[in-house]
Amino acid sequence: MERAKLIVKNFGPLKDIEIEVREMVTFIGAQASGKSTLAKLLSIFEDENFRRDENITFEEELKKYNIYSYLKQETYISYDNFESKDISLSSFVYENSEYLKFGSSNCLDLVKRDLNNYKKIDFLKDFINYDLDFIILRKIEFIKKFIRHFNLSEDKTNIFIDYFINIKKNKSKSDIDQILEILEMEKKPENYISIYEDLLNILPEVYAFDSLYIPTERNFLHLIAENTLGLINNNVQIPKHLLNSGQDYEKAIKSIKELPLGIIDKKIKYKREGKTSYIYHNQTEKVDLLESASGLQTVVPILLLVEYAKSLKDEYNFNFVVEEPELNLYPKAQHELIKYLVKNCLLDRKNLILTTHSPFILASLNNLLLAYDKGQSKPKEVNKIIKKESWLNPKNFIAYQLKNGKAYKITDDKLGQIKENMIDRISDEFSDEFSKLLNL
Amino acid sequence: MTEELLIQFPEIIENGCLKSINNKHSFIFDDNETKKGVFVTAHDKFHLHVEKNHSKSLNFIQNDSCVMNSDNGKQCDYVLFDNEKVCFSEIKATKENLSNRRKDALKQLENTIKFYFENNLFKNYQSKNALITFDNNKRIAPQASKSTKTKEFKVKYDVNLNEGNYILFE
Repeated sequence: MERAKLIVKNFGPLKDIEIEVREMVTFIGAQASGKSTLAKLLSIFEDENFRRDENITFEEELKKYNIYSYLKQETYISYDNFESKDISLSSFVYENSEYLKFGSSNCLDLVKRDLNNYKKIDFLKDFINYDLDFIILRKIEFIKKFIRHFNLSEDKTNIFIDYFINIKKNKSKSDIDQILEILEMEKKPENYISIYEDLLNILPEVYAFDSLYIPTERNFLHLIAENTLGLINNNVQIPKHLLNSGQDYEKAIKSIKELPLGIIDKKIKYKREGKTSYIYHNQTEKVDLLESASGLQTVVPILLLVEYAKSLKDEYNFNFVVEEPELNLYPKAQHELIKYLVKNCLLDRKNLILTTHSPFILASLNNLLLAYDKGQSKPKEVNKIIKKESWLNPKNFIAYQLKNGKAYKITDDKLGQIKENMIDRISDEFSDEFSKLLNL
Repeated sequence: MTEELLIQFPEIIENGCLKSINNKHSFIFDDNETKKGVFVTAHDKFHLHVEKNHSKSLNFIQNDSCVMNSDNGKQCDYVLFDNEKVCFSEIKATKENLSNRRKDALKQLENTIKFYFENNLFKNYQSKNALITFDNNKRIAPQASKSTKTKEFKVKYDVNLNEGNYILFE
């Protein structure tokens, strides 16, 4: 169940944190409790480019998210991405003001230095298999490109392609040793190295995208859209992650011309006309998005960014981070938005990280978790209440409450639900206050 | 069920722990001093409203300080039942904060349910319910944990957990 582990000590508001990262993670906590800081750190570590590219430094990434000043002498951060119980396919440690990234390139170097170390070679084989599986899940063109490196005969090429197609069809795992057999190559370290180097050559294209951070300031994205380059060139003091989101948003408004806004109201539509975005309340009545309701201004950027990410599909590996999805939304719309996000942001190799203060968001998540659970025995009946595409598998979900610099898990894995938490207690305190007033 | 109950706990009639409800509407006030439920009229201060919509018999068990006796108070107040439905009821009309009251009530209900089920009472009932009643019933924002506890009661005991002050037998 445990996919990755993040440990953070003495970093800004985070004093002593140890969390498990699943496909979907939700953080709750008071303001300044460190929800966004954790979400931003995950955004950095869940980014394949950062993991693989030695030239992208940790400090640069922290600056991008405006959290560089949190870094202190006593800061300790570690991140381990586990594919299986024993193998960490990507790890990161920051200690004593230095950091070490361990990923594919380091692994290659280690094996090159120590060709007789079978443990390291096994480790390299795991990397190769992991990356091959990753590619297989994407486009067959990548496999063809990989195969072209070997200058094989047509027959051999077909055997090779069939091998990958079968893996994709049967959802089984790649095995580099079987591949070497097909290629009639000896199973020796030099061959593993050369194959992995070939593979890495095509990987930048495969791991083409990083995390998609949707900040609380998302209504601001529309104001800077089409001007982000100017703002960057003129060195205007706007946090870099906002400008980055702004650039993604620019691409989104250019590619998504029309979008139904069923989350708010079935009759409402978003439409891009020329350089202006409009909200259509019916066939003819339209309002400039900038003059529309605040709920629309905050929800449209989420939908546009997610729809844009969906349109890119296969080649991209997305990690969606949505800060406070509830902003400016009526409770029913909050529930609809959560259903939409679970449906669209949790597909294969896509993660979803949320921060929230809303009891409605937590109640909504609990319903989706229960829907999955009940759906196993009564799929048709459950589907009538909550569509299957929005069911949330409890195994893929985890929630934490942040308090005094620490993180407390608030999901009950046995029941597959969010347990009692600080937001519940606040609701109770409201009721207590009400009782006291009433009894005066 | 009444017979089975009397076989297991013959003293309950003598102790006045079992009462039969014949009125269509009954109102129960939880007396803090005697720790027992008192039947009152609709005009009095009451905690629980029971409606009987059938002509069959309906029974009221004074559970706390009668059937189940323990000093640490880990049992619920009443058990109401007819031939098909049972409801374990806990009144929490204290001045403590709501979170603690709910926590205590859940513990008391769970202990009581386990006690009766272990004695093979009500276990096979079609409709099994548990109700927590607070003094003031008002709108409370939706709470994630409520549904967690609801699921826990359903999964563990097949009991429907609710908060409110009204029970209907039909």
